[in-house]
Parts: sequence; structure tokens; C-alpha cells
Amino acid sequence: MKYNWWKVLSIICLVYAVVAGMLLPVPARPIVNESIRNLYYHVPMWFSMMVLMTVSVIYSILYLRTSKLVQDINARFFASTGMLLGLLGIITGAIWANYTWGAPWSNDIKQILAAVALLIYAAYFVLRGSIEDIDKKARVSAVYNIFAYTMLFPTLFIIPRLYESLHPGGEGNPAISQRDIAPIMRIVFWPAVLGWTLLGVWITTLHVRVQKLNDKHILNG
Amino acid sequence: MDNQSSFPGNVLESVTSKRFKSLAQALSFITFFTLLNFSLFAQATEEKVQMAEGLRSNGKIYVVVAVLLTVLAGLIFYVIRLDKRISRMEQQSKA
Repeated sequence: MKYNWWKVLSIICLVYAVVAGMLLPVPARPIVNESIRNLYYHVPMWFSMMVLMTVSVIYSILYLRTSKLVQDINARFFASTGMLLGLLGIITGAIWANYTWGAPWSNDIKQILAAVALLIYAAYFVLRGSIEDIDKKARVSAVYNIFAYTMLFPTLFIIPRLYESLHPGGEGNPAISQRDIAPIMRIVFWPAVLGWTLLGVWITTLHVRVQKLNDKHILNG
Repeated sequence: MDNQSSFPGNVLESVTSKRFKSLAQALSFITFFTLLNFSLFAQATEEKVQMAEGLRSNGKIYVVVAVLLTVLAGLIFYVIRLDKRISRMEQQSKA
């Protein structure tokens, strides 16, 4: 195993997020009750997805500038781990919604557009699978990745603010602004975001290393 | 609620007319206020948001924490093992 300080930090943050997230006091609010603690586990999925997608698009841009296949491998696996976190975000959101909004899917604007954003990313993988030529695949999917990443902003940040949503915090920056999240919750929430992001990076690096071994002859030749 | 307030009124009315009419009124007045009090009390308890105090006082929340930590430990153990295996593969391919 490659020992890295951030892998240790990830484990510490995740263990802390589980223990402190379950045991520390939380504000008492109607409807959500104790399920307010889901903020520590559901929302970090989306935050870390955003980070991983950002890293992915940076690698795509780097690929377009340098045409080095390693960067395409990185872009692909950061996007796929980000996709996994996004799917977990949607599923955990549906579970939470079932017990607070009364239904797992209530066609809330954020639910719909989060699904749209994930479908756009799903098309990225379909596109990759449909091109045989390695260099063409890398270039076309890098360009598409930039489009998919750009689409995250209207779907996750802009349009939901224009409509009424069941999600809290639509008037400002949800989970970031001072009003939306109690100070006691912030000391668990941010380490949780860090922990899940680093775990996502860790899993991605494993994928990348396997792919590098697989493509050794192409990358070195 | 209606039965309670009208029942003593009917009985009393059948015994005598004048005096008990006012008593019946007084009774219904009192019942009205007690019921009002009850409803206010109910509202006060509703405003207090129910949290998992029972779970906490019984100490069972630690069971949940233990389960979550077990799952997390399993997940992390798995990732570490994968990491080790890939490192070994990398070393082999270098050699």
C-alpha cells in the first residue's frame, strides 16, 4: 500500500463523522427530527461529487492541451467515482425524503435536475464506450466532459434557485451560508465532506493505477 | 364533550327548574375552560419537537454507532487491501 497522509486523514474524518455525527447534540426541528443528522451523510455525497467532477474536468482540459493518455485515464475515473457519489446522493436523498416529505420522489426541482445532471454524466460513459480508437475516444470524451461539467452549474446551482424547492436554503447557498446550518453541525459537516472527498480520491487512484498497469504498453510505447 | 356538558344539565333540570339551570351553566362553563386548558396544553407539547431522547437515555444509540463503525471499518479495510494488492502488482510489473 502506498502510505499517504491524506488516506489516514480520510479514515480519521470518516470515523469522526460517524461518531460525532451520531452523538453530538443537534438542533430540534419539526418534521426532520433526528433525521437532521442525514446532513452529515447525504449532503457530503454531493459536495465530494462536485470536487471529483472538478478534478475530472481539469484532467480533461490537461488532456486536450498535452494529449497524454494518463490524463484521460484520470479524467475518466474521477468522473466515475463522482458519478457513484452522485448516485449515492440521489438514493440517500430519496430515503430521507420518504420520511420527511412523504414520498421518495416528489418531483422536487432539485431532485429532477440532480437526476438530469447524472444522466448527462451517464452519457459521458456511453460516449466513451462507443468509440474504439483510443486517442479519438480520449479527445471526444474530454470535450464532452467539459460540456457535462458546465451543465452541473445550471442544473445543480442556478435553476433550483429560481423555483420553489422542498430542499431548504434555496434563497442562499444551502449548507454553506451562516443561516442554514447551525454552528454545532458545521464542526461535523465539513470534516465529513473532507473525509468522503478523500475516500473518493483514494478509490479513484486505485482505479487509475489498475488502468495504468493494464495500458502499460500503450502508455510507455 | 357535548354529552358531558349536557348530561348533568338534563338530569338537574328534571329535578328542579330555576336554580339548577344556573348550576348547569356554571358546570358547562367550567368544563369549557378545562377543555380549553387541555387543548392549550396539547398545543404546548406539540411545539416541543420530538427527538430521540428515549434512544439516547437507554444508551442504544451506541449500538447504531457500533454498527456504522463496523460497516465503515469493513469498507476501509477492503480499500486498504485493494491498495496493497495493486501496489504488489505495480512492483511486479516494474521488476
